[in-house]
Amino acid sequence: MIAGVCGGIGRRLGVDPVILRVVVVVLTFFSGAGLVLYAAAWLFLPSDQTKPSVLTNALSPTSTDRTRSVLTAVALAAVLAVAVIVVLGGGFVTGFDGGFVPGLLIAIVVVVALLVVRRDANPVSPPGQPAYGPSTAGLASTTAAPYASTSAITEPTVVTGSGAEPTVELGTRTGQQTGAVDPTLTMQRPSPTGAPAPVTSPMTAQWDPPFDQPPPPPYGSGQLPPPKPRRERSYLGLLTLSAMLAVLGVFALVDLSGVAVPIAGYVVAALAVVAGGLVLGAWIGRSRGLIGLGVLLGLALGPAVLADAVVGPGWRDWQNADDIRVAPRAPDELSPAYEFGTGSIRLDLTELDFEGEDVATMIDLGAGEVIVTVPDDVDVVVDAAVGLGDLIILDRRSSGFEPGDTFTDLGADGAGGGRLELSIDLGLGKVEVRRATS
Amino acid sequence: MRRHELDVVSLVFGLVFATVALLWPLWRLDLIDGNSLSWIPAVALVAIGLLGVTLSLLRSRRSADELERAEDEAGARLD
Repeated sequence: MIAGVCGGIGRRLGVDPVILRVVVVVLTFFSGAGLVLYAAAWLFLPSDQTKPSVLTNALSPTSTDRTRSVLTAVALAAVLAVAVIVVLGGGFVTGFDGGFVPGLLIAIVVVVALLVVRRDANPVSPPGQPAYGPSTAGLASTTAAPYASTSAITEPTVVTGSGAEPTVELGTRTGQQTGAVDPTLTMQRPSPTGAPAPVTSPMTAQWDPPFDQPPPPPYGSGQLPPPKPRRERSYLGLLTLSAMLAVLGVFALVDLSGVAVPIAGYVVAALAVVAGGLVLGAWIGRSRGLIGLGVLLGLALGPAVLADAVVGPGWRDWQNADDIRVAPRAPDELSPAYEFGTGSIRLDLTELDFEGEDVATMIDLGAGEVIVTVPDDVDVVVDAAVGLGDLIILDRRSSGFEPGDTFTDLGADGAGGGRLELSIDLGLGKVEVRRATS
Repeated sequence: MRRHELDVVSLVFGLVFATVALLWPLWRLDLIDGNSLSWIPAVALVAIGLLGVTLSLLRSRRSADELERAEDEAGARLD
């Protein structure tokens, strides 16, 4: 722990900070994204409920410890910049095989989640919530204290007691648990959502912990707090969701009418509508709640694209290839296309008499294994694409997400001796094209 | 729904999602390949991030000015 970021976030979200630390460390090892995330959180998040973030402090002309904050902010920004360069550099050198894409995605998602939570953390208090007095503020500072001193064992206790508990019970309950619970049993303690919250609903209590509300400023200092503007009810979120449903319905109708719509098409359409609602919300109405939905859709896009790659748009028409073995002897015995859902296709062309001619075929498989054996002297042009898996074309191996390319090999005798054009499209699995002798 | 002051967070995330939604059909129609696809999010992040930084700084300066003005007025009233 360096700046208590994990502990603070954990306290806010009601999550065990140990889990967050593990996530950060894992992300750091995989792609460096954890480091970026930690520095960003340090920079942008408020250091405590009542204090502004380091960055706000540095930019504010009225803050007391401005010089120190400016220094910290500059240093952190530098670390952030270096880490971003390292992460991006490593990711782009190795392309999809690198850890950049998932690592950065996760980092973005967590930052977004924090933004959304921070927005929800200071709305107008819902009716029925206990009033916040100076005692609450005192309690908040005492619960915050363990986070400042490194102690992974006592922290979960505070988390358990803080989020979902009404103010009145907070002190006693926290005390009981700290005394009673064996440190080794820390992880088995009930989650904060499971704790009783008689006054407000568990959700409200969790996302809106009592000490989120800053204590009322001391009155009589001459400065009255500005009156809170009444928020006008906004229908933009509802409008966007309705439009999204309508668009999805249209896509489903198109799909049913016979034009195949890829799975990712639905996701992207919904995402586009959400994007429109958000851009609109920048000027009229409020629509920040759509950010969470957009993130979910963005995350769903990856699996959707992968699913499209595996099953393909025409998957309904495909039958499964249990174990197809084809060994044609003449060019007209070779089918122009082999299309199957799942299974194994072995195409043995070693007995095929090319007679110096051009022969072409296509293999389209959803998931499974494609093995093509070609004669030694035939010129081979392979255009292969795999959604996810291995590609071994004439001893050249590539793997990962979306390996694919066009390969040309003239064989043992150079140009001539017949020519084979192979087009292979596999969603998930392994493609291998090999010479008869190798 | 009334017009309000520019909401930077909404705008930035709207643009991010719009970028993603725009990239997929381009990739699907083979107008861009996987290699350039991995560059575009990075460039888009830089552009959108810089936009957010600029707008936030502009806003923070403006609110600081407003605070100063309010304090001046309060001081004048006290005098």
